[in-house]
Amino acid sequence: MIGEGTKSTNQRRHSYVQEHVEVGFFTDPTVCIGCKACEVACKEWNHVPDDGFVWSGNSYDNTGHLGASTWRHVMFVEQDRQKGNQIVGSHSLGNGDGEDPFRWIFLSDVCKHCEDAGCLEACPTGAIVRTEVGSVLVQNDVCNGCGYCVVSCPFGVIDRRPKPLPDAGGAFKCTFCYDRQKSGLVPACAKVCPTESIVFGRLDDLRARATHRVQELHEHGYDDAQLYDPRETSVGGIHAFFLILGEPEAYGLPPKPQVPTIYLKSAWTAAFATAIAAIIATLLAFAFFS
Amino acid sequence: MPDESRLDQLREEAWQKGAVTGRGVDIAGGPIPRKLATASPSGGGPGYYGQPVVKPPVWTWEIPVYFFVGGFGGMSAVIALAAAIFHHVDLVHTAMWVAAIAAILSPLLLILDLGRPHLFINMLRVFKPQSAMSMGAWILTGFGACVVPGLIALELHVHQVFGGTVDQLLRVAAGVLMFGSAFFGMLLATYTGVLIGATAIPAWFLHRTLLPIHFGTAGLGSAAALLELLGHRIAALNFIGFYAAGIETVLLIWLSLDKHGAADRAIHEHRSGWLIRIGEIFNGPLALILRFFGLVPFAAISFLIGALVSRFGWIAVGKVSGSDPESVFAAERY
Amino acid sequence: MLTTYRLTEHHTAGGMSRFLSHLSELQPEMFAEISPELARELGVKNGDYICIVTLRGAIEARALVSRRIRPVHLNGKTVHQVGLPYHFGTSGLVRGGAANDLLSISGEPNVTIMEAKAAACNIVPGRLPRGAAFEEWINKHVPTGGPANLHPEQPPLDTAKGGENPPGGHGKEEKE
Repeated sequence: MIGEGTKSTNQRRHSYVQEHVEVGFFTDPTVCIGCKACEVACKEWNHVPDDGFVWSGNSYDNTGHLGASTWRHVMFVEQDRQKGNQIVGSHSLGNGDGEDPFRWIFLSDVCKHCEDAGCLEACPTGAIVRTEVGSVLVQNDVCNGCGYCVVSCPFGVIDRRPKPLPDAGGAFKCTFCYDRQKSGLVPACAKVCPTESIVFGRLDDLRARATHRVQELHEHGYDDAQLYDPRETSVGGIHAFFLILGEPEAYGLPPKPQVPTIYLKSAWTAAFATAIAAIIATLLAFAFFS
Repeated sequence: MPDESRLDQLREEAWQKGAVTGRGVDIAGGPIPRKLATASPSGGGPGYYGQPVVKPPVWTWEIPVYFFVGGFGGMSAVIALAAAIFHHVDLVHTAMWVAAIAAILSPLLLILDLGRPHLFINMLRVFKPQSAMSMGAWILTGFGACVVPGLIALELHVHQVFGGTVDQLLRVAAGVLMFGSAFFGMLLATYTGVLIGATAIPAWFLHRTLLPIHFGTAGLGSAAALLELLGHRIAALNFIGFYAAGIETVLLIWLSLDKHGAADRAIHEHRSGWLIRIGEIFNGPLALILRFFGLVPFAAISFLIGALVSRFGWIAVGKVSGSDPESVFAAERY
Repeated sequence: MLTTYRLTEHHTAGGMSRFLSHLSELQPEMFAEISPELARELGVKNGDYICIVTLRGAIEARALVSRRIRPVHLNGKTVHQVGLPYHFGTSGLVRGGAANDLLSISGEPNVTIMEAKAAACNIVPGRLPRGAAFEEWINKHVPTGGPANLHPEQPPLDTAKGGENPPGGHGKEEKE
């Protein structure tokens, strides 16, 4: 926590990998200042290439969305709503009484590291694995770039890196800085976050801390503060969870994400029924018309 | 009228009380109502500036072509088995050749589409029932491992290359391998529907029951149509043609009725949905009518075109649907 | 009225950060933030090109329409604000108009830093003309107090031997 200096879980060394402790990220937009240091630190540490110099015109966000070459993405949400107990005067000429609020929210998006991960289930090569700390990791040397994880992620995080970027063809996403964690270091984004909007730590600690933070914000007039951690859907909770103001749709987060494996049963049933019907039809055809 | 004197009041209030509770400086605007002007700040769009919530598929033309080739190849092996049981020796021969060519083409197409083709063998690193792609890789491997040796055994037996016991063994082997081909073949033609049905793309997973039926039946019809075009104008294949076109007609009606609003609007409102519909019309009603009037070759061509076009249509629709944040939200609220 | 400011993604005029891909991709183009009201008045949409003209020069930038920038009502007069990051220049991975081109060359006596936070400006929708057409164009669109003086460091042609303030001299553009 801010004020703890080097004792903060964002700064001190740990042995979570050796002890098999489940870890997580808790990202809190109410303290984020939108500096994008997490994006840059992530790219620097992980040697992620730049993916084009395109100005989007969407507030200060020129990153767009998470992808093969963007593992952290700071969102800049502009809404005509009140933030906390912000003073909202009328800003209109003439009708000076109506309230006319406006707020600017920053949220650093990242791979959610689902409890039941769509990409992990879909991967046909076993390149995507679950690590000791509960994160989901793509082994770059195993991935052959089939692209099935891309359509299986309910959050649209993982993507196949296009040519001519370096290491093109494979699927990439946030590694939770597994390499750093093995050496007892904190993931790069959390390490550099100047306001500890991104908090790294034990998952159980973070969940308690997040609940406390939501209560605190409610007391301070942030009525629409809530946790985004879809534990009641088939995703079963996420390791990198968020505090959000307002509804998840505004942050491009699906309100009820589902892991696609729940669709397998009905799809396979239809497939088997079709296959058997085809065999019966063929046999009947030859039995009666030959 | 607010003016700068309010600033002084605010400073004074802050100085006296330490905090300001009232309204800030009222800043004024142009001649138009504020809310109207700012209905969509910056870029606008649904969700987060209209950015996709799930990722659209990265697959290119190889995948729909593979769906088509795998479909007719797999079902061709099924026809070969049935033909063998009912002693249509010529048909068995052709059908096995079609299946074998498909069994060689399919992995080539799949490998072409990989981001890293040289690592294709990693597909067989694990056996994962919960991944349709993994199951597909194994089904395709099983299919190839049955069809190609099966065809070789069949050819050696038909041309009587060896005599006596060896030939008898070859006959048995061909039979067993053809049985295996038919088994893997029927799965090969249908699993592709599961493959795209069990994903996070709304237009696909909402039709996960329809997809395997469509792909499997289109595969069966294509196999029959191809064999007819290769000269096997027999009643049995004509019946299969009727069966497949009939089912496809029903699927066309089902798809037109089974609407999910914004969630699958890529199919019903976007132009890529027309690819599916045109495909379905070609291999459904049109093929049925042509076949009804005895124009078998035209019916066969119509069915093949329809089967190929609708495969492209489904992939195109997936790309549109995956890029549309509102359809994802709608599907989850549904 | 324009103001200039920094973005977190770049360092000063971008001499270091605009040459780094990881920083450049985060803010790849010069933009000018304007309010929806001004945008409506000018007939400009988010992302369109606009030109910012002062007595010292003109640059082009993409319009970023946002409610974060608000027109101010001062003693019965509506004053629109234009926000300009000053990180862009003519070289590097990402290039763009330099906001410093618009400012007067002056030195505040205590800290000897120029006045960069407020200057009168005019906004013209569209791209900036290049070459000979530019001079005519800028004199047409220059804010009150013109003609534009693009080279205040040189004595104007019509003045005998420096010393006198050139027309449109320092500080003049700050006063509306």
